[in-house]
Amino acid sequence: MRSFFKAYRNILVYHDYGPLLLFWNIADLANNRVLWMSYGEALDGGNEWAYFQYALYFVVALGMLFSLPNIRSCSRFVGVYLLLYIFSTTKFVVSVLGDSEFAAGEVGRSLVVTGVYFSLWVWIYVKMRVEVMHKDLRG
Amino acid sequence: MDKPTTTAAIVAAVTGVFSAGAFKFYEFMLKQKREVQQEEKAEQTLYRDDLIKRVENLETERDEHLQQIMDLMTEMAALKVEVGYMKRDNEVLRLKIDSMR
Repeated sequence: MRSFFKAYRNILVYHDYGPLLLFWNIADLANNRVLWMSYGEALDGGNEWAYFQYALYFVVALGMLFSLPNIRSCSRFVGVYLLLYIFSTTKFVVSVLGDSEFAAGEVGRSLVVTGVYFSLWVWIYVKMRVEVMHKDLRG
Repeated sequence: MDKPTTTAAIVAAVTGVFSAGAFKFYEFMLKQKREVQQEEKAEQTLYRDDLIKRVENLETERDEHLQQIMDLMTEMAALKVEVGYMKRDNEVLRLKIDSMR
């Protein structure tokens, strides 16, 4: 049993993030609402700020995709992406806490999924930064 | 800005600053660890490096001594030949003196 969990730990510690980041990044870009919704539609729905937020996500994700071969630049984009993620999640949580109309079940599901995605990005970011640090130390 | 946006911006900014600080600290720790490792490695290889240096010196000295021995052997061979000639000349002279008597 111990070796079973150790195998998961080894996956997290020793396996590379590169292919995952590439595919996740492409999926993230394709899933971005900016591609599937016009600004006019967002404006009609009163979601223009959310649209800007998605546009920002889109730009950062594009930067991530194009800077993938350069780990230093890519880690900066991942950092910005994480900050955006924290920003939008916090905003969501604060909005939920202040609004009694939100469905508790739906919120819980969203938060769990967000938590898992957040862990994924943190794992990628930490791996990248540690790699950059080791590269710097080696000269 | 409404309340959720302000709160979210503050939380994101604070997280960014703290994570940057945490990474700086981790980098500092890594540097320290690496310096200690390099010092330990230098201490471990000190004796080995000294031995390598001594072996190099001894090999140079050995080559010099071998050359000296070769020179001496050549000189000794030449002297042996000379002594041989001198012995023969001496014998001839002795025979000549004996015949004169």
